[in-house]
Amino acid sequence: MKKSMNISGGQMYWTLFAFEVGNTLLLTMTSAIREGKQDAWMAMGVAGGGGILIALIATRLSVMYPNQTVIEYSRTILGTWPGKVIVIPFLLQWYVDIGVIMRDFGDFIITALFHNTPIWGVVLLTLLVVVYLVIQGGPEGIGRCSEVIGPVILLMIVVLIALDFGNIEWRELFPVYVDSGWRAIAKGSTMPLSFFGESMMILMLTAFLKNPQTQAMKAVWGVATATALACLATIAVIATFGAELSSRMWYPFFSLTRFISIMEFIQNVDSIFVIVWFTSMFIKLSVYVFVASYGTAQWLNIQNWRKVLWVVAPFGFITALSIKNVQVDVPQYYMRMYWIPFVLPINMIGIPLLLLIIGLLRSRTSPSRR
Amino acid sequence: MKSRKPRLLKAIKELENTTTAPCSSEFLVADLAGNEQVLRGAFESCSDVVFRSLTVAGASRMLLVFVDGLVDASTLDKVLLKPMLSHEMPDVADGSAVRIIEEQLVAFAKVETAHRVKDVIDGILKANVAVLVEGDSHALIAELKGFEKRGVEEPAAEITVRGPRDGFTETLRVNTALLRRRIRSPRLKMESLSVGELSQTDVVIAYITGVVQETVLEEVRTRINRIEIDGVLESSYIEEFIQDRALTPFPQVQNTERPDVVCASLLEGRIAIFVDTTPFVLIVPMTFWTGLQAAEDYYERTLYTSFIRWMRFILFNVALFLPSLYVAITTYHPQLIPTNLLISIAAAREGVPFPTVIEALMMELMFEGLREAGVRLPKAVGSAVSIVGALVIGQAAVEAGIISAPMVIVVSTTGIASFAIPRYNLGIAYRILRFPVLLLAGSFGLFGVGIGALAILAHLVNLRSFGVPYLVPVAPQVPSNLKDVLARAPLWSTPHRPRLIAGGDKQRLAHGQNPKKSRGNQPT
Repeated sequence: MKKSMNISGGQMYWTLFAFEVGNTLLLTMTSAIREGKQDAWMAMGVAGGGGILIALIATRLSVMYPNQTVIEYSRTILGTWPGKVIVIPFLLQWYVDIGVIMRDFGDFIITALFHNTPIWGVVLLTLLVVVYLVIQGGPEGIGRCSEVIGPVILLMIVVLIALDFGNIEWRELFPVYVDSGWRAIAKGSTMPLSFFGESMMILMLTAFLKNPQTQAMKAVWGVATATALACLATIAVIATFGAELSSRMWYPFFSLTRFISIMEFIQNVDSIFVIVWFTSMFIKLSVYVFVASYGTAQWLNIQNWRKVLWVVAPFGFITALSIKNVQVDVPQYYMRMYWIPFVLPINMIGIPLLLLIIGLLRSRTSPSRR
Repeated sequence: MKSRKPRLLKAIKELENTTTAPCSSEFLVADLAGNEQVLRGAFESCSDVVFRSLTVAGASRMLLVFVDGLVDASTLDKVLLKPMLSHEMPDVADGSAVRIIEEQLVAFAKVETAHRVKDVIDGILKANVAVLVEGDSHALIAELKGFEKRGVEEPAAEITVRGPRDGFTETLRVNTALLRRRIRSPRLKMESLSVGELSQTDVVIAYITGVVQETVLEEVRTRINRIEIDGVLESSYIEEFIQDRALTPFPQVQNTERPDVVCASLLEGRIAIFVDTTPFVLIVPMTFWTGLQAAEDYYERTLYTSFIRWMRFILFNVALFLPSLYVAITTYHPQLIPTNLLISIAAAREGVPFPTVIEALMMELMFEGLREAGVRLPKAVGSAVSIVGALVIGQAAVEAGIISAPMVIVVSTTGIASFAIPRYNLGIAYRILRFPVLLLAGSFGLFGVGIGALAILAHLVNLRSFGVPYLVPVAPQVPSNLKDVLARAPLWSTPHRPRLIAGGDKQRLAHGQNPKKSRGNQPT
């Protein structure tokens, strides 16, 4: 089953890039700026570095078992039952996250573009296309979509930052470091790190690479590209609005697009960039939906993972609609109570690191496996 | 042939048996009268089948059977009948008449012997002359095709400014000859088979060995052999059976009327399928980008063609998205339009009773109607349609305040853009997809357009034509072939055949042929 779905290194690169860039730019900047002030771009960089590190760990781990996903090799490493138990946090994270991402973005779409459209319509429509892509193409379809969408996203963000050049006041960036110090920077980087850390999806995706040994590093480059863009974008935001103002904005980078005005003709281009973000989100959702379905199928030993999709998708839909007040619920409870204290240290750092260490020890002690 | 499901075959056989009862004997007999009776029984009520019996040199009786109109009657007279009936023929003993006739038949292109009644009947139906001689239990089938055929003319659907002006005709042999004239290599293979139980249409699979991908070729063979149908009237019949997916607006099989396009495709490792009685030749596998390439692209200068390719790419996006973008932006996101423009649009829309979506839908449907009417109507009435269309829609509807002028501009731009797509069948895909995207735009604005675009993309990336991904070389990416999609790469810069399409021999021209800046031997 798996062998029939192959993704190339380039596809992996663009998938990870698109997967990381949209949400990070949109949602994490405020908290980074709130803590790091004008040095938030450093916080972004630190977070990106952390993300790259997580990606490296995940890559290193996955390459040891090139044709298996984390659900499978956790059993190889730890034995059947411990292996099954240790991936439960992953499954939990994926299931919950699909709903949260969708809700978050549905709300963003509605605040940015419409006023009277029902949220369920937006969520349902998105979900339908995501399910269509995943059911038809699996990781291969996602990879190819990213290959087309990824360069467009990259180009658009670069163009956006370039268009903003007229609004930039460099002095907003000074003084560098003195005001905040490493503590503030580190604190500011937790939120972006928890987003960059989602690069641990590599654990699931490497199994589908055509040549895992040579191509797996491409994923890390994807995360690195996203990091670089996030740093640039943060610099642009701070230099445009100043740290004080932008730390109070919901979506500072989005507000930046509203600020653009060239020749009285190119202005109010925010709606276009919403669509670009949307494509990045679309990739992220597709990856999550696929990984949740495929992971569940492997966890429960279900032969046809596509059938699990019919559970994952409605579940995501219901979760997305059942969050009462997204502006309070998501940042307050989901991010503070679940995502940062549990998912970040356990799912993104703890489990992959644990698996890597035990896996390395095991391969050291039993050379017959090699 | 064994793999065919026998049901249709049986049904047709049964039908044949009931209508042509005397076809009971399977082999020819030595008795000419008996053979004649069998054949006459088979061709009962076929007024176009001619039976001509004559006596050769006063001794042997001979019977000619052929379909009038399909064989070249004047040559038949000149080569066979006149010498036979002339007095110079020596008297012959019984039996040697056959030999003399065979000698006479040497003048014909191809002569075969048939022993079975069925072979004789088939031979006659395939525009040959059957010659039966008294006392002989076999018939000679002489090829003397002479049916009316259209000359080689410039193809109507694909016109070029520069490039060869010959196009395929309805005759299979003429078409294959046009191909062979261009590729004079025994590596150009043309496998022949026939499809259609009643029509027995000749189908030829053409490819170049060593260049073609064997797996794709095998797939083409099996898919064509699988077809079980009573008649094939056009290559689209074959296309419908061999395409990968039926329920998609995107064509997965390319068709063309131009021999040069077929040759170029064969040289890239694709496979051509010729069908008798139609000038449209199928080419598989098709990719999305071939739909955006015209025959002329490689005959004009690269810079110009690259520019044109970009134009086409923009235009095909315009054809797909312009009406929906207009609807989405005017209805949901007016802030995207510069104020002055917005004011003039709003002024133009004043008094128009419909929402923009309805307006756009009406106009698009009207445009499609106009187009269909223009294509389908007899030429004499055709110009009336365009006049009515221009006057009614362009002028009167706007003045009456039913339709706004910007909408007319949008719809006509879309129309023009959709005709700029070189492959007609790919253009159709966009025309159809425009409507769902329009509805999405009407209900969800730009978000709807984005969803529509993503859905189309999700569909395209999963589409395959004979196992080859539809979007190759963009997704999956083949960087070395990319330059011929984003631009038109100069010939010398693409030394390799497209990956994933060509198999085996990848090199198509020698490296390092790019023109140097050297000044050559200039006269001083």
